[in-house]
Amino acid sequence: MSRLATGRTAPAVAAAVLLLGVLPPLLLSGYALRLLDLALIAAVAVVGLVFAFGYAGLVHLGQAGFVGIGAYGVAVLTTRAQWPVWTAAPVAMLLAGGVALLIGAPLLRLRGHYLALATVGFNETLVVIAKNWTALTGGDDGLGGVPGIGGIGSDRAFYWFAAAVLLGVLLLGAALRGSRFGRAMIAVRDDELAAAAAGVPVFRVRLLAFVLAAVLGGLSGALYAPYASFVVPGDFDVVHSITLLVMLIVGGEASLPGAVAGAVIVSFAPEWLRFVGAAYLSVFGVLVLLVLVLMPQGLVGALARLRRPRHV
Amino acid sequence: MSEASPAILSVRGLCCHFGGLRAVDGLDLDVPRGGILALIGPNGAGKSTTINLLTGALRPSAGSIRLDGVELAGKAAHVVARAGMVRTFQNGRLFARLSVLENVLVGADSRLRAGLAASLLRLPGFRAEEAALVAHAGGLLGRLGMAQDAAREVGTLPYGSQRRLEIARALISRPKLLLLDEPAAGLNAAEVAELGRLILQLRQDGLSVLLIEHNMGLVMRLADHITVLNFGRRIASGTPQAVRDDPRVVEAYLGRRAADARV
Amino acid sequence: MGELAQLVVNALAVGGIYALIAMSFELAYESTGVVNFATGQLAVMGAMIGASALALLRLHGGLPVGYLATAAAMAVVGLAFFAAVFRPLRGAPPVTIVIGTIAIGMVIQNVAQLVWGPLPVAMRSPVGSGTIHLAGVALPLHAVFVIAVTVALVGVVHALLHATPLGVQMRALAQDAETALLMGIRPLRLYGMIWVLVALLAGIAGVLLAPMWFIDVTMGDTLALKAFAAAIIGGFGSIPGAVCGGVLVGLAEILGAAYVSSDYKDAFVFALMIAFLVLRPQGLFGERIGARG
Repeated sequence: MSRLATGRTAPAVAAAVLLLGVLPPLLLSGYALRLLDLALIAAVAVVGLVFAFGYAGLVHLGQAGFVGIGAYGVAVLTTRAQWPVWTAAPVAMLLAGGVALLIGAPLLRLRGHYLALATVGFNETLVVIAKNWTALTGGDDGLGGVPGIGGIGSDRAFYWFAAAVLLGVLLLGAALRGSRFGRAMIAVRDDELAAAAAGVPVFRVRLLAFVLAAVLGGLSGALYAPYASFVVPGDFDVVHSITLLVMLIVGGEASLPGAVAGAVIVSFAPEWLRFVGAAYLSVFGVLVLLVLVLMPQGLVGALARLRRPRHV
Repeated sequence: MSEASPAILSVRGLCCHFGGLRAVDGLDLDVPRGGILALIGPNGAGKSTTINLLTGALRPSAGSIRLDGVELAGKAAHVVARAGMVRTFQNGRLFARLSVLENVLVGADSRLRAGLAASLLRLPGFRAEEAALVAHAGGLLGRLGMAQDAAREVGTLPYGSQRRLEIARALISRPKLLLLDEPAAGLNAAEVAELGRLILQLRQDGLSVLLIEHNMGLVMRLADHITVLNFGRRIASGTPQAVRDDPRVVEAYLGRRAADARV
Repeated sequence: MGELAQLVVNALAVGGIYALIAMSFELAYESTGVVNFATGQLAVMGAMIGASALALLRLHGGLPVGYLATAAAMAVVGLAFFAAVFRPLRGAPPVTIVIGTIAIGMVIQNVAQLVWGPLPVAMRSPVGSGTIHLAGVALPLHAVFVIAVTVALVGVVHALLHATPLGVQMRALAQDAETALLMGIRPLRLYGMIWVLVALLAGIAGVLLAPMWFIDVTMGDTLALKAFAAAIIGGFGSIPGAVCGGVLVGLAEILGAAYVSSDYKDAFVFALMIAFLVLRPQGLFGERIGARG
């Protein structure tokens, strides 16, 4: 098993992100640039899943629900209460974290696929609420007219902004990994009993991972709503939670650079697979299955194996 | 209870009943302060259940567990560990995705004070604390002869080193009492001898140890006191010499016939 | 009073269908360790194949042949699932299996969309669309038929698992694969049969549901979520649990929609499921969960 990125590799991560991040927006335009923007937004939520699943092992199929809380939070506060985006976004993130704290306390006693099912139920419940609390959310018609982030007029400008936010998130993620919190999360996933016996408060560590994931989900949504200027319930259903988890698995479940790579690859997959036409989901499903069977450590794990086939 | 109490750990009337089965049945146990108590008994005597009860992995049906005067019966595992009673596991349980050094650092979780914000922003307080901890962990690894292994993946360590790494993980929390669950299992003779020296050194440093072990040579050499367990009860307790000559102990291990023959 | 009786019969019929899907889900989990997130798509597949088979074969031999052809096709789907999903993912960690079965669910749904298009299928009930009168209450005949078939199938599956050599082998394999191997059980053949049964149960549920609801290819996840809720409420690994859970979900959904709010009917079901997960995680009949997984 490849060793995880530690705090020491933060500069390397930053360099790679800068190198890979500076060129594409200069070369791409139009639809491709838009996809790239959406990939960065998704990557923020996927980094949350690195904490929740990659580190702490929570099989979390509700992350899109927290993205939705962030997106709707910003949309409602900016359109109905006329708040500026800059104050609405942090409040929406806190709201996502608060909801995670409330539901995490009972749900995180569950493990494995039981937790997966419970998070699915939670996500679907949020969608039902968003569809039916019409006075607040606009129901199935969604909520439009969300103002953009001040001073960001183009998709390219948004790219620089989102890339800067993502870079900050990655640096915080690397810091988490290099602290007792990151170590405790991984210890809890690797051997819960031994972690508890070593003094790690297992439940609190799981809850922390879940809440941090939700806050990043909320941030992702707070970026999305002003970018799309329009939110509908269907954008945050379980299918999107699955997509976020697939991004994580494709990249490599416990890797910060992997989260970004997975988000970009999966976001561009429909574009690259355009030639298969209506059979897109079949091909995508088979590709995911192949990744699971052939590269269980994701892209990052596969690359690491290529780089050092032997071990010292 | 005061500092002067002779026992660091004092267990009274500990019971664990699974339905009709009495895995541990009214056990009394005292670990002398700064000494080594060995808990021995035939297979199935209840030793593993006892260590699980003491460390909060199992909830006792009845009884009291006092560590330095603090009642710990029924407390969660991490609370017990944070109170100063830390264990190792029979077959070795390490964190496979963490490096050797990080495995040790996890053991210090209870000692760290830096909060989430300080850690994420890598504030000076966090950095200083982390640096001091890494130095401490490095020292421990050096003492156990593993300084050169700090960055390795634990899966690549030889078995003997994995067992020592578990002890390092326990020691970094600066426990009051170390529980060693069959630390010699699977080690070769040289490694057992080295383990024995290590445990004696730790006692010299003032650490109290509860040792569960099948290797009688090691037990007789290290233990200040021995408590013998059978069918979940204490059948004998005393110095190694006294316990060795106790007919009930011989009987428990070898059967009545052998005991009669010896008497 | 008559209205309530009708609602309850409808709820029992819908609940029975959820129970069949839940049984498919649990059979896969208990005997092969796979948490099958594609169970809903298997049910939709059954409805689609059933509708086509009945339409095609109506001219040539009528209903029985159509149902048999549907069953045969679902058996093939089960074997394909066994070969394409179960064998490569066997023994993988839970999240891999969750994502893997979701991926295969996407494939099934997409294939169904390519074959049958986005429109819902229409299927007639073998008992027609009439009503029967019981104690002065008019009940839809198909709902009564669904309840009868569900009861019969629950009996058949129970008997299969507990009173036939095949069932004994399946349970042996589920409990202790190594020992079962030593006793001469051929695991791959047995696993293949289990997956056939898994696909058949889900497919029958789809065939029963199609005359009651308009089924289109996107309904798999909705159905699966209700069945998961039924499995959790009833307790994992228990056939009586799946039945009670299914009925409770059916009642919560139909009665909640009728008397409280039809918009929030799905939320009632999930709220019930989450309440069970938190307050009584072992469900009505099942194992204690939490540690397992």
